[in-house]
Amino acid sequence: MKWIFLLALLIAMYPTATAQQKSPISVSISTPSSTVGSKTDIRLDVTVTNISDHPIKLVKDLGPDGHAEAANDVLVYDSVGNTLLRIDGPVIKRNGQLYHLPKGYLSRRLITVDPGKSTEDFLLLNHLFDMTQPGKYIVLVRQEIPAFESIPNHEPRYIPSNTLTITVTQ
Amino acid sequence: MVDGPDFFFITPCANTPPAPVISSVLPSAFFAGETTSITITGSNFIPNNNPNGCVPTAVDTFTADEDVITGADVVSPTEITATVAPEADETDLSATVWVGNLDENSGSEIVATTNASVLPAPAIQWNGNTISTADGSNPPTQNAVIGQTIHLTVNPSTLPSGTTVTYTWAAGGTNIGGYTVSPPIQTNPTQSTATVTATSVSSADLTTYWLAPGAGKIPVTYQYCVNIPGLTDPCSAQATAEFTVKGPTRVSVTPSDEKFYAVNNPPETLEWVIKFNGKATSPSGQPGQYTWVQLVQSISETDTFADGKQGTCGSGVALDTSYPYDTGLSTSDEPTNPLNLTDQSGSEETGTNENLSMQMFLMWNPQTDSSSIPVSLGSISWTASGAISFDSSTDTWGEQSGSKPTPASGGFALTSSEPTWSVAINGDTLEQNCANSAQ
Repeated sequence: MKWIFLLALLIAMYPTATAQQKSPISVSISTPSSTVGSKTDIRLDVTVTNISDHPIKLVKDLGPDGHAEAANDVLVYDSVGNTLLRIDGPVIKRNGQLYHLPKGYLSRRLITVDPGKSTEDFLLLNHLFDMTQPGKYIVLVRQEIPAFESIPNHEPRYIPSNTLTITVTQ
Repeated sequence: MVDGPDFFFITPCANTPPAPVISSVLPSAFFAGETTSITITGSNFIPNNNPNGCVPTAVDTFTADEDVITGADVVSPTEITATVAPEADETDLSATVWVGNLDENSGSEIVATTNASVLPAPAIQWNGNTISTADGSNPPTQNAVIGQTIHLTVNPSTLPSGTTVTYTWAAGGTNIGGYTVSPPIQTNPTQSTATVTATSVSSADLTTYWLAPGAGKIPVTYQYCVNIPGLTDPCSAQATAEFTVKGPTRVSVTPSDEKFYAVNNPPETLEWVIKFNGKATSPSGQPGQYTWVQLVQSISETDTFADGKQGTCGSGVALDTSYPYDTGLSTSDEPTNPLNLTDQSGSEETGTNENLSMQMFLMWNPQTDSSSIPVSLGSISWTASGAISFDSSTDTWGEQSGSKPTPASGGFALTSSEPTWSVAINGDTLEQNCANSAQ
């Protein structure tokens, strides 16, 4: 019951942007195995599909596939709803609060996704979060639509994916 | 009997004449399509108007296809002058020089021969077809597009052994011999170069690329020269081909949606946004591919840190991030200055000041062949700046100052100058340099 409530809460926290503006993309995540050992890389595949009627430009890490976090806000919650902190970037303090920032990806390349087409990339969750504790984790990502594609809003938009449950075993 | 030294060797016609001997022919090679005077040197020639009234030495020069001789004069027992004029389309490149003394007793001729060569008339070929004329007539017009590989070959593949040949080409219009980006596709370049080479006009073949459409017909000429002894004019006639060169029309790039702002929620950043909206009409039947290349003209950045250290970084002319920068007819840039850097002592950033000067090129590759190149249709320069300081009393970044991306006056400039660079830079490298240089 508590689990269902948490899922509902997550969905409520990150409503799709369609409420204000129809999203031109859909974002889907999957993992090769939903149950993994605590010392195993946890791969998360991210598929972004252009569901609009026009080409859309997205951003991507300059290097080879495997760093989908360069274009995605990645959110991981433990079984009691706590947000896991990023471990790949700097930690700063603002007004007494610590912020565990993601690694910055300033230099990203543009990719064009035609209508009906998809682009795929992946990331390794355990390189971004400490997921060594056995248990269930809820994962979702929010794909960034760059500011220049958000005009006239001029600010990046984030389109959420489906949620995924991953079980980490001893 | 005959008087004078010139006729010393001539025997009376009643007797069998001596066998003629050819010791040399100068020049031993002559151009097809042109008239050339040659001199045959030897002995036992029977001159015209010899005092004995003998039949003069007969002279001929021929190929497998035709007689190429147009006149001859047996000047002396040792010299014959003649003119030869092979047809321009002569394909047999070996000629025979023939002389014969008539035995008036038997009616037979006593002959001597030697070999000469026909130098082919210059002709320019494209994709195996001859596209030029060398007689002043109008050549058939060829159609081409900018960026297309124009590889022209010529016909004199077989020349007399030992002949030294020099080639002279001239191509009108704005052209280059090549545009090389290395490595050819770069998503994360650490080393990158782009170079332009001039069209080589002294090679046997011509490879060129036009960078701009021509208002009219663009000529290409070719001739070759040889080192044949005795050839008064060692150069062939000039072959001329003509091209109409097309490219995209109604090309424009309009910048829009320029913005400059600070993000004050972690991760904190200073950001600029600019969008480029391109328009162009490809030549009929040649959609090609539009791409973008952005050059950093200059970047300078100074970052300050809580421990009082200051880091500086920057760049001169460099490829921005990747090649190509983007594809299609619209693109954008979103430079970001991160405000959460730490120096090597672990101190957090407390201020930054950055100036950007960039140049965005719209390119078009006709994709007509595997070697076609992207050609610059024009570029637009733009600048931006920004500065911000951390306010420790409020524990937030203060109000930013600076300018949003500002296109240069005049906006998009139609230029056919290819972008070149010898280094690449990206934002991550730049910022790392700033943090690492703090002292």
